[in-house]
Amino acid sequence: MSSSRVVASPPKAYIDTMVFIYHFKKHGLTSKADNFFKDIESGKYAGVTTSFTIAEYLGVMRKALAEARNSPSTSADVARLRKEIEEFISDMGIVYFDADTLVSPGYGKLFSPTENIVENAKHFKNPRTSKWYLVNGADALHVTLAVRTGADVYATFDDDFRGVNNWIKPLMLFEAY
Amino acid sequence: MPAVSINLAPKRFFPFFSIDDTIRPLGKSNAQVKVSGYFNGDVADSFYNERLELGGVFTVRAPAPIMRWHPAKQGTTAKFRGHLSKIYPELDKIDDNDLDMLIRNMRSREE
Repeated sequence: MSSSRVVASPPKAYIDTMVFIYHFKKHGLTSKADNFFKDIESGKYAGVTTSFTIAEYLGVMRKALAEARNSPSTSADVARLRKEIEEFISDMGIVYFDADTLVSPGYGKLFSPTENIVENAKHFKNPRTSKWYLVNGADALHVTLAVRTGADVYATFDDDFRGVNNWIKPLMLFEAY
Repeated sequence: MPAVSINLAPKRFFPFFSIDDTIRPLGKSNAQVKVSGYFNGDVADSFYNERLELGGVFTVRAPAPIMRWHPAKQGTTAKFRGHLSKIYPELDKIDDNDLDMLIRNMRSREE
């Protein structure tokens, strides 16, 4: 008699774009991003991401390459950048959604819930910098997508997301790692 | 000549938007899925489906990912740590502040 072993998925963490960037490009926060991804690798979290995150990642890295070289990035650069992040997502077992699927009409409106998040998210004042933080439209769009993927937490370094508890629990990587 | 009466009333586009017992609720899921299916009060995101009027039963599924979760390949995190700086050494010219600014600009925020 054959027995099939079912592996339960751990809590799902929607990964903000900057977490990928800090992991791939050397930065002061690379070690914290690295520790978070080690937790995904060990099975503490199941990573979740979307094609929209990859689009943002490619946009930032293309600009970074253009500034570093003082010349435009090429289509070969785009292909290489995409290949690297897709290989990483695949090898890490990160759940990958097509953002187009998440915004299809069957799942309801997209921009109304996004507006609702912008209107009702809580402000956060960082006691260290005395600056006020709040999600903007593009941030709130990510929160909407994260909720639709069924993610349990939103993993980020961005203080703007501290006020979105009503929709998804923020996992502030500054503090967690 | 008798007048011809043509019924110009449109078909009922939203027959079930208030209570729709033809749609099975989802099982355990925290994904936000509209269980009323494609039918709600807004013409823009609705369409007519005759099968609903005929008593068809629909199941609304949570969004399906392109790649599903599986245990990670061990060593992947270490392999990709600072990976781009090896492929593109010129990226070292971009310091932390420059990179942070690019990330903030990604979502149209200037500081």
